[in-house]
Amino acid sequence: MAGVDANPYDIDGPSFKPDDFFQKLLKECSLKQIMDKENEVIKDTQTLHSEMQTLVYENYNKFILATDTIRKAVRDYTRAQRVLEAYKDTPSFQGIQKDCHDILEELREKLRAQFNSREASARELTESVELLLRLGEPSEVLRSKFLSHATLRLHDQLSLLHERLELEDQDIIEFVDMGSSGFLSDICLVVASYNEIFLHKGKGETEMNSKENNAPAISQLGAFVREHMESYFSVVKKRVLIEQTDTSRSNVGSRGGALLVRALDRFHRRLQAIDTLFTLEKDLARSGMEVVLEAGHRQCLSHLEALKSHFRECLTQVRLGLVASPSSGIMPGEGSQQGTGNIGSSLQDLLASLISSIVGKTRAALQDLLGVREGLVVSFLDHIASVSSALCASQPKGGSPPPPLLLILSKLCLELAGSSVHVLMSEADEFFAVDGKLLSETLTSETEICNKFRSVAQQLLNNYVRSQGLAISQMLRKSVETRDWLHSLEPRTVRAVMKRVVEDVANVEAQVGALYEEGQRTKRGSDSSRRTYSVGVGRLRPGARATVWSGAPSQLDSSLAPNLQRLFYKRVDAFSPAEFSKVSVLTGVIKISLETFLECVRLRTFGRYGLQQIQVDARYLELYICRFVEDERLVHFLLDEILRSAIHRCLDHVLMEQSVVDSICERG
Amino acid sequence: MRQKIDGTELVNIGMDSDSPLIYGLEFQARALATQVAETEAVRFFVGTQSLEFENQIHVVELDEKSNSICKKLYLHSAGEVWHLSSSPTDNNIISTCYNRISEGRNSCSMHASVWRIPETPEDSTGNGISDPCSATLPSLDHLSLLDTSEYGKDVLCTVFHPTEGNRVVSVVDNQFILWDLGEGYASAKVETTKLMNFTRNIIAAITNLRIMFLFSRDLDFNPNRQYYMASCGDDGWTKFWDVRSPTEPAVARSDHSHWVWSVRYNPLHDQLVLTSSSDSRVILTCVASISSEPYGHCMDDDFHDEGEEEKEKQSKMEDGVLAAYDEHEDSVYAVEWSTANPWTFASLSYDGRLVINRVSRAEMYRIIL
Repeated sequence: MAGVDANPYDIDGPSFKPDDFFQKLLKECSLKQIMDKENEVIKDTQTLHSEMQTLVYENYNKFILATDTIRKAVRDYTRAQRVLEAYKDTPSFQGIQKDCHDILEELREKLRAQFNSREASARELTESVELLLRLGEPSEVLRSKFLSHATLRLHDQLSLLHERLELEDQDIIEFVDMGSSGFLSDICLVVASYNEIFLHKGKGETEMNSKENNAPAISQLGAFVREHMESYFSVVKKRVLIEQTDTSRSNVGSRGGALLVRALDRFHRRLQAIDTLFTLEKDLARSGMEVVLEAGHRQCLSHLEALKSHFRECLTQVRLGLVASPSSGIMPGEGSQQGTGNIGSSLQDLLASLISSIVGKTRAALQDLLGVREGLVVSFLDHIASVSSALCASQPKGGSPPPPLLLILSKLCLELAGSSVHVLMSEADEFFAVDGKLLSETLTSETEICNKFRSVAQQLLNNYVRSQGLAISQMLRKSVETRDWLHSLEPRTVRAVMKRVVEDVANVEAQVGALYEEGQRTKRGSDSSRRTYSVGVGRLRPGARATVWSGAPSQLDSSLAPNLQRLFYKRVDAFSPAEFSKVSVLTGVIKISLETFLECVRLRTFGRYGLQQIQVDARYLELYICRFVEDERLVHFLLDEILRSAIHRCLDHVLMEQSVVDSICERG
Repeated sequence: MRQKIDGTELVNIGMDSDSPLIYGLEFQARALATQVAETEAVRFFVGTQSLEFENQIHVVELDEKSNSICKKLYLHSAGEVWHLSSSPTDNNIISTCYNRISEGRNSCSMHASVWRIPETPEDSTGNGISDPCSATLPSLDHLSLLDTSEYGKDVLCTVFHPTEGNRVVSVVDNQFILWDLGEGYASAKVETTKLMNFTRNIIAAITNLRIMFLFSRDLDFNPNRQYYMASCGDDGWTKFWDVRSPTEPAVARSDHSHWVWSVRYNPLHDQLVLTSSSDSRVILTCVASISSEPYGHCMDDDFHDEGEEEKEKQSKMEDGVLAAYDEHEDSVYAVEWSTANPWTFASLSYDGRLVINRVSRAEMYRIIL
């Protein structure tokens, strides 16, 4: 076997392939044999290891011996030189001097040769340089040679890093470690030896003198260090960029981010540790720092992007959830207790998961990145706010959002403003020990963000009220517009659309109730005329009208009462935004719907039975819708106004007996 | 009884001429028009809606010196007025769309007619002189009936050509019908139902709007930049469109809390837009960003060296609500600028209240100075 050249199974051969060998073993040998083989391999390895150590030791010993010899030779030579110089006229001494000279020349050559050998270690080199200096070689020449040799070695290190960079077979920590132990240690060693050899020569001289003398040496070293560190930084920068742009590495995931952070941390620490070595090049430390900062900034951005897309996903999830759940806003719930319960819990679940995932994700990003307050947290919160408020635009992109989404987002913003923003912000501030003074001067304050969220929440809720109101309005409007009210039949039932309206309102109640508090209700029967208002301008009607009222229910008896009511209602309700409570939202929705009903009625002309149908419908609404609102008087007033308008628009206004109306409504 | 009501319904709140004047009608009303041909007096027409009583046309004039209202009443016995417009060339010619109730009071139908306001021998501006009792009111002279029966049932509106007094367009169901009223407005005949040359822009825009907005209630064109138009509707939004790119509104506002029934550009200063709504409010909005005077009044070279004052003038006016008027207590279905005085406008609510208002002096100065 040993005779075959390219045998991959020969463990001592040059073309040995461990994987193939291993596979072969597994295939061919029994368990026992494999275990024996393992023991054998282990034993061999140990033997080889100790052999290697012995070899190294021996060589080292030889080396020390050699250096010692050389050193001794040099010392002896320098001592002998004076004598030789003094007696150089004597031919015998002349011979000795010539011999010595030749030997030392040879030695010098050998020592110089070290500069060109890549294998020579820094330590060997230092040794040689010292000897050469003693032998009177000019310092400038030695300095350049020393540095150019160091360049050779550092260049190797750098190209090694470059190779790794292209291979991409290690993670970034390994990479940084390799850089630190290879390149950085080397350059440190070079700087240290350089200092030792070339800068501490003039110990006897005064401080001033030494500085003056050393100035060219220092600047030479400075240039050298700068050149190499910069190329090192550029390699590291490239590596970091790869780490951050390579999506397959999932740098946003907690692991990737953590790795990057740790790597950058090590890199920075290492730089700080050696900072003392090259105090001469102040800005180098800064450019090293820049690498870290830049990476941090980029990381912030990528996290922000990730958070944004996560938020987008969350929204999609919620939208899907809304569509999937049978109790979505547009579909009327069955009205049963169970149906309502479902709506409640599903909405609440959606909201809870939305909040927790936003906060959790942001927090994870924070921890992972130890990110930047303004760049990440504040920007992301801003983003949430602006995405949410964009849904309130006149023509939101991607069609108008489903009303429950508006509701959830409104509650989300409110919750964020209530607590989560505080948690996130204080966490961020804590992590970065944000300076209090800075906080108040240049940074976005917490209250600012909270206020923003609160106003967005309000905007969203108003929009919710509006869109739910509009949906119900549409239904009412169609039902009024498409009917011939002049020639309709005597009403026997409540129109189906009224039941739909009540169902939809109940549905809205379930949605809102799941997320918002009940809210304050005004007790019935409180003084409706407490606002005294002088009726300067009459909307008095011709006396003949009064006969119309006499047939109407008691609320319509006097034409003054509705006027007072009107004043009251208009003043109270003049476009007040919906509050964050269930009754307030429902009041808004119902108000919009009933006002629509009113407007539609005013656009039609009614016959007797058309009017009576409206009477029945209004009564039905009165029975079933009052319980939803803040103030029942609002509903009473609007329904009265609807009936009054229907009477005005009626060619033959004869109202139905109240008892008949009631019995029709009870039948449903 | 009615006499008393009628005679005392002129109310002038306060002495300040900035305060609104309120005029009460005894019937409900939703038709309002400015007297287009008039250039001196601020005068409006109002048509009433009553299914029981004889309907009226009120001619309401603002006496700017005494800051009071003068009115003349005419009978419109044909039916309740749903829409009114006035001739651009003749002060006394109006057209109405009205709902006529049949003899047996069991059906009704929409019609359109052109009328002349009769010359009354004695000027009845003085309060209490005329007998407002409907029996003695002068009737409008009926000039011609625009027979729309073959085009559809629902006559939505009838509007005069902006400059030609004898041409009128009716909107019946989904059709436009152009009438030539002929000599003395007496021989109305259909000129065409294909309005290609007449108001192509408007039709294109309306067609667009119908596609874009099912909820649209009213629209108006910017008088100075005709490719800008405003629409308003049941969704509570007022939207301003550039008809050259009608995919989305140039500006959109939702200041009202219910349907917006009417939107009107100021005839001179097109940054001023009035809207009226069934939330019983009238809102004056500034849309300087797409007006012909984005920097307030047009620049005058003479004023260029006036330093700070000049700079202030040049500062762009912000879009937004300039004023909200809440003198009404019922839905406001119509609002109109006066053609004679561009700072004056009237709004009419369903309960029969006509309010004549002015743009506040502060805003006025901001625009003209």
